[in-house]
Amino acid sequence: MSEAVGNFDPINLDPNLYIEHHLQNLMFGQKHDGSWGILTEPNGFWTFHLDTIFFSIGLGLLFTVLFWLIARKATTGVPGRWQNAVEWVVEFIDNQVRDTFHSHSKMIAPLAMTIFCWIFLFNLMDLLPVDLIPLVASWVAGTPYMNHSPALRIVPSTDLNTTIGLALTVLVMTYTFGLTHKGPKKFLEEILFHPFGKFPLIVPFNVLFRVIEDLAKPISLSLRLFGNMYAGELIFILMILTIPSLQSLDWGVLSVVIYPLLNMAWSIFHILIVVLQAFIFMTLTVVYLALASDEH
Amino acid sequence: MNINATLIVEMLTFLLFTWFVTAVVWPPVIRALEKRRTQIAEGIASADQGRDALNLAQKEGEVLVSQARDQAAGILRAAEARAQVVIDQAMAEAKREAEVIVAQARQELDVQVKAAKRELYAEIAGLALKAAGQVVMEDLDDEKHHKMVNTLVKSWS
Repeated sequence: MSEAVGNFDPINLDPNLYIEHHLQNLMFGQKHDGSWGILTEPNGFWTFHLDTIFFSIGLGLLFTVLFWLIARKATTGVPGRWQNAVEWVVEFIDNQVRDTFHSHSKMIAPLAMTIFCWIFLFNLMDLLPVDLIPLVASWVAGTPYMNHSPALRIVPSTDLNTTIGLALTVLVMTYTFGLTHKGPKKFLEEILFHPFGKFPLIVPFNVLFRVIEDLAKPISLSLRLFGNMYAGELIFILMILTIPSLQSLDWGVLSVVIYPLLNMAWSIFHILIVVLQAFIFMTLTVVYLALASDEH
Repeated sequence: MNINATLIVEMLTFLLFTWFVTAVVWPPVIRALEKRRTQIAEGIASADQGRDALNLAQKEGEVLVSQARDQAAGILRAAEARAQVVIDQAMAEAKREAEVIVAQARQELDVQVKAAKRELYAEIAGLALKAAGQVVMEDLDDEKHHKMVNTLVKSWS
């Protein structure tokens, strides 16, 4: 195992260390001696994943600021290339939302676009070579790669905190949408008397049903995205291990040739997942909000 | 894989980005799209109108052209008729004049013929008298001669 700065030697890779390192976030929190700093072990709830926060805010800024700059100069005449691209996204999302969401809301379509673009960019980070940005970061930080440098995970959607955070926010939004579109009385009636009816003994079951429903929504929403992206990343990580294992089997040059082919095949397949998961998250959000605001 | 305060940061970030997109990114783009849509619809409508107007103008033009053609043909026909009339008149006049000229010539000829005849008779009468004088051996004087010739000529013509 080489310990030189920025040195990455896949041929003499320790698989356990490699996998463990790549599945760990860059954590910030209170150390055991009471001071705050980079942690090697998570320390309770008040631990922050700096990499997730940095990349999610960075990617969010990337698309919001870019879109904002283009939208500011939007003309009604012949659109330029950039405006055309933004309009394409906006129109696509607008159509999707119009198909599902029938009440009037100024927020729903921009919300859907934020979700789609943001998650799309999260997932897109998965297509960057797994070691590229961590290596660059270790050069910049001047620390040896992997062994002693803190971990760095660049795909925010492989962090449960991101996906659950999004899903919980969506859940909160379904409540606010329900309250504002239906009014408190109807909203409450729906919780108490749906789906079994108004009979007083049945009301607890109605409420229980609602609780289960509202738990299932964010869990399925967040775990679907997380599971897809986490598995995808894990496969990218595992594939690089073909190099040391085939090397140990004396496959010679073939051991190095197989990895890029595998990587390319999975990358191509993964492009589908990247777009699809962003689209599914967006569509389900719109559906949940539509259910919350539509009259039954 | 642990749930921690990152979750709260992500939720807040999500809300902030959503607010930003709702406030400043979405409205201008969707407004531009709507506006362009109406502009295109208007453009198509006015193009339709223009096409209709063109069709109408074309039809009107065709009517005008055919009217003009009819008119021209009418004018041509009238002109031809008028020309014919003029020619006929001219010919009739010419004929009349020719007849007058011929009649005058004929009259003159008659007069001349008569005069020539008279001269001829006078000469014949003179000759005859001369011959008769010689026959009777008596010379007639000029006065008698003239009287005789004149009475002779008068009796012949």
